[in-house]
Amino acid sequence: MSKRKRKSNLSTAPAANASPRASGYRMFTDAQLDEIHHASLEILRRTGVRVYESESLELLKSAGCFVSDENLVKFPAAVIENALQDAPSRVVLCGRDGRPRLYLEGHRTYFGTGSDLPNTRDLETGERRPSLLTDVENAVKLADALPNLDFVMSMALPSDVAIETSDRRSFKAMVENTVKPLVFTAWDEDGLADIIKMAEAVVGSPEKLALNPFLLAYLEPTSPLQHSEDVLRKVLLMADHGLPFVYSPGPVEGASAPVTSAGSLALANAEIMSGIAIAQLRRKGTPVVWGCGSGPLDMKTTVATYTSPEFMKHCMALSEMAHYYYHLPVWGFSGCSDSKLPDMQAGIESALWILWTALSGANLIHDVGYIESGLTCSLEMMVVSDEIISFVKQLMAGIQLTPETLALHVIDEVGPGGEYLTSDHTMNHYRDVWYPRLFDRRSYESWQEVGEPTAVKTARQIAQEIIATHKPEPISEDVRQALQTIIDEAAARVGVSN
Amino acid sequence: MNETLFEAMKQSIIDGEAEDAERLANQAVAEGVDPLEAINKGFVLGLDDVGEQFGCGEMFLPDLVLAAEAMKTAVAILEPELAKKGTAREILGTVVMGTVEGDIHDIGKTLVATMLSASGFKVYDLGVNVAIGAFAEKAREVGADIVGVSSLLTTTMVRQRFVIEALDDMGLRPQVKVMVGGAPVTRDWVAEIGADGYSEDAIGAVAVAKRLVGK
Repeated sequence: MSKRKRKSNLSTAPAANASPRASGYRMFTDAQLDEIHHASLEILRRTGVRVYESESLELLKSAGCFVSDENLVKFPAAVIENALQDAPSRVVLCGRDGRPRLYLEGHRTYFGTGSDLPNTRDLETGERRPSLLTDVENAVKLADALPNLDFVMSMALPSDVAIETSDRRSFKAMVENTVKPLVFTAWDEDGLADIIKMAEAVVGSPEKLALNPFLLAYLEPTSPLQHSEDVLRKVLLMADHGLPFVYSPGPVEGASAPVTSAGSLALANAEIMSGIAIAQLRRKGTPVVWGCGSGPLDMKTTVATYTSPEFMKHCMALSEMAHYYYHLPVWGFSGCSDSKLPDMQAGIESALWILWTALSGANLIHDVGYIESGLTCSLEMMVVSDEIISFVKQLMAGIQLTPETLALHVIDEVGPGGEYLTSDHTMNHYRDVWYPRLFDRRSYESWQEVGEPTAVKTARQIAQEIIATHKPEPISEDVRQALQTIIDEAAARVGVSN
Repeated sequence: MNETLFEAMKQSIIDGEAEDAERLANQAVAEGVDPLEAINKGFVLGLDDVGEQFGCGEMFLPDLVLAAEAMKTAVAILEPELAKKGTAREILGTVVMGTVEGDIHDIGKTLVATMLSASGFKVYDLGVNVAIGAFAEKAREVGADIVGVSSLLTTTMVRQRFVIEALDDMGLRPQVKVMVGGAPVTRDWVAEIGADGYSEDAIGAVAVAKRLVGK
């Protein structure tokens, strides 16, 4: 009994942070992956894509694409396949402290929040109201503290600062409130250029930023088959800086894509690969992440749904394409819901998503805490989803098989009819078992005694406590000032005051 | 005696059969049926029916779109006949609409334009990525009653405010009403930017437009 080793705490994040093991779950055979790739190439050869940006058009022409009707580009297969060869198989994201944190490769999975929600569910009043800049700060601070979130996005789209420069202000709020890697959005090329300057100021130089990037841009073409001028200016700028981005269309099946999952998959895949080709033609080796969020239009309510079996299968299929065919990092969705509030529907949808996307092995899994089909931020659901992610990480870790865990010596020692409670083996290993922070396991009476907590109530308390007390690793005053100067200059340029 | 014909017209819209609607409209012309009656006692009733069924979840969006398309086909045949007789279908109002600058999402905006047009509005669809000033310019040119501003992205929705400001600057408000639309739009947002109405779907948009022009 004297040899018992005591670990410090019961763990809520027991498993290895990211399991590199393939889950073994596959929807498609290799031959079917070929078929999808070929279908996408056929779309690019026969139908083509609209490219509304002149430098990109020149790059594509020089590479051997056919341009007609001003900006309709048709691709020989070789242009795409050669360009994809140039994309790196892995992207490493660091914290702003330079420490490597996310290895986007193989089946390593990381979870994070989403961006730009116009509404926030107020943590104090429970009311849904327009998002504010303080909502960005609070959501980012919460994500910084939640142990199972690995990267951070803005969550809220602030309505209380001028839109022209709010992308820069949100970025500063993110940098100030977390040390975790950031995925960000920028309104246009100017906004992106400013944010890159801000990021360079944080780490010290453009070289350091390219070598140890702590940020990744979210860029989105417009389905069906269009690359807008805005998005391509941003693609080119990220490529010029050697910085990573995800290129993720959002086709709505039955509206901006075929209603059938396979057709939507071939379409989205064509959109992604043509965008990524432009980046590689601009600068070979531009780090990219494959992504797409494609779900059916609900023809009853005309809402573009955020959780459906079709959406989830599409994500799985896209992961398989990225993992097994293109060998590129892949973007995923999780912890999100169509529900209007943190309720049973939200919990179920979040949990299904998290389990499913973990099985898909997607690398950068975002939108944790989204409700109302991606229109409202719920801090409660961030906390609930953090708990689910922790649970799922433990599932994905599988069962370790060693002489120590098989425990034949202990079984023999205890013998038939004995007990394990007082065994050293139990003492040494019971902390390997997963314990909830949020979900309630009390007896009925004890649960009554502590005020009959529900998961949502507890989640709200946890969020409130973290926001009130958590102190993210601060940035230096010099850096803070440098960021503010870039924002002030941008505001002066476009003529806004806040 | 035209009751059977009117009933068939109504049904062609409910079924979303543009070819049937076209054939029945041509038949009405050939038989000398009053084109205004053909529209109001036949085709329009079909569209109303579809709208109601959509409202209570019996019909889905594709049914609605096909019905509106069939309606447009029929009206396109009957309108010249009305003109020949020196009459016209009552225009409920004139609408200028488009998807705001920076946003090239087309489908929702076009759907609303189709529904408004099928319901009796005169619609000028400016397309997508429409410059802020272009909404007000066109509204002045055609004497619009309503300007409709669409955006799908949360990041472009904020530019709906600038369209209202441009209308203000040209002195067109408040006689020109503003409707906004798109997935991220909420009642709070409508209030904040001082728009006059919004709807979550194309059927609701028709009701809002009718209310704004007092019909």
